[in-house]
Amino acid sequence: MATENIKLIKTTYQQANFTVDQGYFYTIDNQQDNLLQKTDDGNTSFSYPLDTLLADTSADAVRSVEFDGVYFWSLQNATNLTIRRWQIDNYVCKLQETFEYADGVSHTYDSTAFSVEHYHTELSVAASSGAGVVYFDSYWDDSSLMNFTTTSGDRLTLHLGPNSNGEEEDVYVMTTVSGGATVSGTSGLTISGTLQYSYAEDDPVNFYTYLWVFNNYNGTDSATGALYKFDAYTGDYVTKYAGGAYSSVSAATFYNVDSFADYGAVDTLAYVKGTNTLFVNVGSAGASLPYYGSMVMENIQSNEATVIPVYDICMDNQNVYRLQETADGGSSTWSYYSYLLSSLDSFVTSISLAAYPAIIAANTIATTDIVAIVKDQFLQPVTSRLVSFSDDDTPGAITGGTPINTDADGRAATIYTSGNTAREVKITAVVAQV
Amino acid sequence: MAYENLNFFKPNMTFVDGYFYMFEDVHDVLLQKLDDGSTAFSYPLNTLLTTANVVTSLEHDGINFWTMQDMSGGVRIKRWQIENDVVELKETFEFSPNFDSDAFTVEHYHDTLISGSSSGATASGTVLYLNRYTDVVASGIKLTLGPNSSNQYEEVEVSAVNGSDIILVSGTQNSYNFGDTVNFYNHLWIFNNYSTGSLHKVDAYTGTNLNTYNDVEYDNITACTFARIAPVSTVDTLVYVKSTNLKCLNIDTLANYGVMTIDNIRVDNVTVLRVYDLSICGNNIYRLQKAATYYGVNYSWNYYNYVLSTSRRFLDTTSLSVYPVILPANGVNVVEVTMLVDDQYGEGIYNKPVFFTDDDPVGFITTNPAYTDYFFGTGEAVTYYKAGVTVDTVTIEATATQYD
Repeated sequence: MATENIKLIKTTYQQANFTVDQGYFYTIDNQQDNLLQKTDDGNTSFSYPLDTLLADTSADAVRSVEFDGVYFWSLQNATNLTIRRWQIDNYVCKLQETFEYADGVSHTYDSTAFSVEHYHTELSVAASSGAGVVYFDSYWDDSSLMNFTTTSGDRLTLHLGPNSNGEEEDVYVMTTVSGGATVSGTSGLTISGTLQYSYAEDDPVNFYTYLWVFNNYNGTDSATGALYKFDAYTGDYVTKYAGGAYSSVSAATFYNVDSFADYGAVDTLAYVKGTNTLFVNVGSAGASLPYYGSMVMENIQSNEATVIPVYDICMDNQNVYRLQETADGGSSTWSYYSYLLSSLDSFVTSISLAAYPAIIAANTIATTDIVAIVKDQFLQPVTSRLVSFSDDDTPGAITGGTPINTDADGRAATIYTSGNTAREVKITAVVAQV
Repeated sequence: MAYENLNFFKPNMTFVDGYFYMFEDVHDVLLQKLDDGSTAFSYPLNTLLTTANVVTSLEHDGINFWTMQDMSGGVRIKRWQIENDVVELKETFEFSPNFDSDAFTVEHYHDTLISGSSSGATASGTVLYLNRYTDVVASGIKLTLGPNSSNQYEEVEVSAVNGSDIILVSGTQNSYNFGDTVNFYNHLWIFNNYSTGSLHKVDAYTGTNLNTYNDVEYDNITACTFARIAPVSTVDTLVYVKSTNLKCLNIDTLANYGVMTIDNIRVDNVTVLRVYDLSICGNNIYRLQKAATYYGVNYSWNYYNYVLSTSRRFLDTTSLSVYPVILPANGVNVVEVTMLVDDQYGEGIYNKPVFFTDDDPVGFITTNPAYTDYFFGTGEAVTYYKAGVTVDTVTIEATATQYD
């Protein structure tokens, strides 16, 4: 069908996961035991065999995959909830870590959505081999991140590189300095306290901290859900946040979003609930996690009633990619999963139109106030946009002027003067995205 | 199908500031919808609903959403509030046994400050002055102040009311100016189908039943709301649907301010169409239905849609009579022709023109147009027909038009 694109295999959730990086889509196939790199039109541009085989059943299918800039992370919701960390190395996708979460006295696990809290920055100053200090553009002044310590006591790990020679390495953050941090080599590397390789300014710096898992149980209570926080290095349970909003979540990701005027660019955990994506402030202290905002999407069938499931979600630049088996506004399912797009840029998304009063006499004299409210996908008013009004009645007419500019609340108002036939008059408001 | 709009798939609805809202128990969200059914936004519920107990009635008091669901032997009413893009459950009241209800509402009021309030006044005894509803406020009621010029809100509890002084338990955190909004609620009103029907007045803060009014009148009520409308004069009234009438109840006396007829009936004029929920904004009355009659044609829908009524007085029915009805065809005799024009409340329309015509080539209407009674609200417009010269049945037609 026309709107299908990447065509991931649906059967037994074989490819019910995806992520995007630099224009390519990635999916982990548990039956082929491959990490597939696909282009927008569904062609496989490359594939990386998994060095550790996955079971072929639907229960063992990867239900979510995340990319943190260095590693791929996969989630399987089988007997145990399993999160794995993978890395492409020498044309093979090699398993780096496996965390298994079994049901127990305190927790029952049932999840198809998770993400890894990860950050990306660049070196602000070139760093030579043997250096003990690196300087990078951002996050160096975020004490909560720089002071991150794993449950086993290790400090935050920065992944430096690749440099111009394709070299990369992991280093611990020891202390922070203005504009950077002192580092030492991780155990297992041959360096001791200093960088093994040299890096140029603007070479990438990546790091991750926690895993966030949307569980359909709060502990063992299925009456509500919970957002679980795990140490991404040890896999240890850290805490959980109970809430029905975290239940039945099927898609989540972590991304730096610059769509909220009050906050600027923020690193946020985004998850799909119904027809909205919510953006969690995971850095907040307290018993619950606040939201930066929420964004409505169009994953609803043409009957405007049936919500279309989103199997996975990823973001790249200002694009939001939703993995679905039904097109927005459609009703029949595809044979494959494909992506649907949303935007993180503010867009005219809805126009509420109401008449006050809504019933007037058909006498060519009576009038009613027509009020349009224009909002974007974040439910923020869209201001200073021309709204054009029209009606389908003759001699009824819009007499209060058209087009009308929206005000600071996104409102544009005009007047309709009735016709001479008793009927339902349809008034239409149109606003253009500029 | 024609005349569909919201396409709600759950039988609850309320209208707030140009948007329609519905609680949905499948994905546990509060949906904010547009007139055409498209979704403007959705808010996840932080406490899950039980799919088996669909929300049957939804109300909004200016701050909180209130839902009603069936439960074993009774009903459950919940208060919710949108906080930080999520709907948080604030309160749950259960009413059982002997409760069987499809409709409830919350008595709520919207007012403004007639004096400012400074921030940081944390001591008890802070006094507020309201524009209109001081006599409704009582100790224990929580007032929601705001938004102020900084878009801040807060909730304060009333300690006592002394004359026009509304004394708070504590001060206010933020500053508020003259004209800033104050919202509050005090009672729940629940229509109970159990036995022969009753109306319960409930403390909306504690869930305590304050009064039970037994009357078959309150049996089988499926939709109601609380609104400030003008059936006679502008009043705050409990509005409920009884058969094809919409009744405006005085909650102090339980007398009706007014009763208006609505068109929730099939073309056969026998089959009454159920109204599932009701919401009022200004003069617009939104009735949630799965079927409707438009211009003499029956429509049935797969989903729930709103059907409009208006609370402002509107020409609704006409009745034409002639005394005497037989007169000689002599070109001289006259008959009195009376057109009775009523509004939807069954009351006469004041001072509206009525145009008369007849089909006799010689006979004629002497005064045209005639105006409905200006002084006593009888709705009568009187004119005279002077006979023609041919023995025949003469048809006289009268047309009344709403001009406002």
